[in-house]
Amino acid sequence: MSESNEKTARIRNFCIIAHIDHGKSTLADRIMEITGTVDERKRRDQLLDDMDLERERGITIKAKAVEIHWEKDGIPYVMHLIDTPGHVDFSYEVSRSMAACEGAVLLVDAAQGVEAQTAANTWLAVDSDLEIIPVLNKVDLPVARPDEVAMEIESVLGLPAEEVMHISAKTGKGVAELLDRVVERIPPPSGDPESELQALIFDSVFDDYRGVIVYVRIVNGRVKKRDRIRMLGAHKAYEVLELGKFRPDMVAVEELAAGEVGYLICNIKTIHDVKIGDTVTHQKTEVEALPGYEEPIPYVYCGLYPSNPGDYENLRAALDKLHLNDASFNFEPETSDALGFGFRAGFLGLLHMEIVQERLERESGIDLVQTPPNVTYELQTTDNREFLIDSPSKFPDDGTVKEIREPIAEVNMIVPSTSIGAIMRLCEDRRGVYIKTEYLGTERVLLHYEIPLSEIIFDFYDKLKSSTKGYGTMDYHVKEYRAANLVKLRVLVNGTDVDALSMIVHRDESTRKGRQLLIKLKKEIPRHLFEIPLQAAIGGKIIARENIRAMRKNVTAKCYGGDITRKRKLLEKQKEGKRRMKSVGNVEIPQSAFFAALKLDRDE
Amino acid sequence: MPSDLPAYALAPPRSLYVHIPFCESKCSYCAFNSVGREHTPSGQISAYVDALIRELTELRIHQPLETIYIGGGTPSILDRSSWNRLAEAILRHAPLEAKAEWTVEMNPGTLHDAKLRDYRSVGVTRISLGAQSLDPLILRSLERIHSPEDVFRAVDRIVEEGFPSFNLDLIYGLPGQGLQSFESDLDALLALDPPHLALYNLQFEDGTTLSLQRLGGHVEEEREEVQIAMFTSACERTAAHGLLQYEISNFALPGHRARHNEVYWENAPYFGIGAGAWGCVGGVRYRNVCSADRYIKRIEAGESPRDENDVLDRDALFLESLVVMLRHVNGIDKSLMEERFGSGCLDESIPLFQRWIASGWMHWRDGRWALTQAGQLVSDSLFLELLP
Repeated sequence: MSESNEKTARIRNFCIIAHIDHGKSTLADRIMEITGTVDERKRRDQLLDDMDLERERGITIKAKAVEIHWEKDGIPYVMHLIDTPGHVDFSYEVSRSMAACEGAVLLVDAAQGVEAQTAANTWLAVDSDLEIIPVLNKVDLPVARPDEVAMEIESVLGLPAEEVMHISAKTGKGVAELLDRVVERIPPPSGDPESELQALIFDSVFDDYRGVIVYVRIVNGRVKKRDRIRMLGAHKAYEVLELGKFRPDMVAVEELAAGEVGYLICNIKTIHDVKIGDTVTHQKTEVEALPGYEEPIPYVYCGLYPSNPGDYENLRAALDKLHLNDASFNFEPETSDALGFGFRAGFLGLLHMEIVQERLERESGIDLVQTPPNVTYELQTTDNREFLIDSPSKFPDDGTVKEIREPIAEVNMIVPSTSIGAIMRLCEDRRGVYIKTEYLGTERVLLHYEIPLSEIIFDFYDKLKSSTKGYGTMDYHVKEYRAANLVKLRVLVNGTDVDALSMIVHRDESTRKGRQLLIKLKKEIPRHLFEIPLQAAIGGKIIARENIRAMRKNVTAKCYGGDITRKRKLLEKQKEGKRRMKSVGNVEIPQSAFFAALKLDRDE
Repeated sequence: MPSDLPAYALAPPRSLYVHIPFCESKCSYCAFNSVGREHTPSGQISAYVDALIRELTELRIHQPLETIYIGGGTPSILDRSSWNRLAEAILRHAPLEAKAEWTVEMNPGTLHDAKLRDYRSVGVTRISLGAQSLDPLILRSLERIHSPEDVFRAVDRIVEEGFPSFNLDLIYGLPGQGLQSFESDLDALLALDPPHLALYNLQFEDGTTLSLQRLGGHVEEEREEVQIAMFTSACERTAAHGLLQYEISNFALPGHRARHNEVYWENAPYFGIGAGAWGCVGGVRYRNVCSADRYIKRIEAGESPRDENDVLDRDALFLESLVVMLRHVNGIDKSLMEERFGSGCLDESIPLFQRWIASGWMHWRDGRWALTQAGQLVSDSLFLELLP
């Protein structure tokens, strides 16, 4: 064995699969402590090196692939602990992070048991041929039921119960044994440092000072500072200005070789030039692309409008800024008859949308009007043209639609056996198709359904939680587009078509949804000095109507002395509130009304 | 000193408000600056009057005053010696015009023959009596200290004492009141031939007992239709007695309008003294410190009692003027506004006024825009539209 191959044989790359709260970050911290990774940082904190200067400028780059050192039987090993994104909308990113590993630690809370997302990620790991080490955490808690949970792991995930390790990430019990097990069980990387460079991009982050930081796993060959490299999928070429590892801070190194995990800095100006899952090689080298590369596809869209039209450019700037750090979210300008100039933004899923919106509001301070989210639809017209629409307002109303197809999600849910009935009703209400049930011991079941994505992006998860007293968990991914009998429901407020309130619904549910939507709107739109008719329509046909009564009394009894200034200040405050509403025709519609469509319950 | 204000706003005030922040007990709906007897240390009222006199003296009023209003709280809570000291100081330091209006607020439960005589003898011309309701149950629920009979007795005494004018306060829209009971209360008060009536729609003010009771679900706001019916009925019944509505909540026989309050509705300057009193002098709207104790201490220490100073700019004064003027039947006098704020000052408002006229909320008459009865009822919504 050559020296470099010997070095590769002493590398272990792994990630931790865990449900939120099952102790992933505690375990990561404990591993870093036991291996001395954190102590090293503490020492270095006292030295004023380059990194400290950067820390003073406020740069914090998340260590997504920490290098740790561990000795077993007198042999030193280098391990890379790779972090995976935490939530359901990022399953592609999770799969790429896994592709950078040879193994995974499956961490399950010994009291809570296996959760849906853990199961989904474990299946993903199995598909990626990872060696999986099942581990029960929090075994020292009185509520722990390690034997039952080990059986769950065996029955759902097919990992032998007797191999499940017991640890406590909190106290550190069993963590050293776990690291030994990682060395024993997870195979070393199989790549050859002497062949041509092939590196997998598994993540990237944008830094204001250094441009894009690319996280790579070197699969074959080696890369050095000043190398000219290119990215196969993105067709871009760069010079490597710096490369290094996370220990856990960024530390520059001279080279990264097959099996190693680290970062590259190549003066890349935008994160959109870096595709997760892409392959890096040398500029003049021809290699095959690594398998599994996909373009992220947004399935969920919504309109984002400034309440104040004057904020349009500020909103664009804020979206641009967010876009810098999130390659999977996109946006383009859109005009709404009702809302004026704004943007249509696409997201991987509803959670992703919430994260982006929250950041947008928090970081920009712009008052936003957000339209209800919708999924993308495939349309076929009578003249056999096919296209994809990302907004109900783009749905042709003129009878030229021959077929409309909607995205169908494969959904798996782990719920207590006692709530199977409630969950099955929920899924049927959402046009779900039952696939199968798997039993996890006697207490819990794993339900598989196919449900139209449009039916789960609203409040499905909340319903699942409330029907299971908080114990239910779910995971989903889009499987395919399937034809359905869908129509566009339009809403007229005071005779004006409010395009931002229109939605695509199943024909069988259109009347009920139309009626419910109007009732919600009636509650959300404040009374005006005139009566406001609300109508729901399909095509030219009105299917429901409601009236918001005119306000007939709004008067202050006393206005003397100091009341005058108080009155003026109150009026100014109220005017400010009114500015945050959207004026359609002469009706002021609050943001909450645009979301009324989301909360249409079956039982109302 | 703000320089862009019209001259009238900078002229020396011709009116004085005096605040007495003490009551026998606090009423459940009241959000005024007042405290009940149980929270008033002995001797504080007397010390307070001393402080009032000192603040008054320091105003150095030279222009004879046209109106004085002593409000609260319950001014009639002052004992005779305190009252006489205050009255004497007013007469000495605040010269009054011959036909000046001098009002004192009174609670029917604190009626005292000798006090009434004192008021009259120093020149008080008008008593404002807080009747509020004639329903014993409602009076109790509002934590009023008086009975319906106290109201009748008080009116008799006020008339006997020869006050040229008096006012009765009545509240409508009280929880559990009902249209019929309100109408019979109103009729009983009108039978007393009051020259002036203030008819207040109940407001659930923040921090009052009544608001807490509503939050707790113990009382409910009267339905909108009923409140509108009460207002409409009141306008008809008062008119039948010759009392004409001249402000959203105020009704008077000809010649008996509350001139002091009309100063507010013209947004004209006035002095205000006492704890929590507002005043508007030289384009600054100020408020004195609210706590009687802190007020006394500041005055005793020779410090200014003013706690808030709101320097009005032209836009603020203009907007306030539109709002207060539209509450009054006189409405917005086009030539007066142009004289004050320059010709064309209403150009931006006129299209709005035209819409209101078309909707039946406003009328244009004799060079004035004024709200109709329907417009008064939704006036707060209309005022919001006045803002740019």
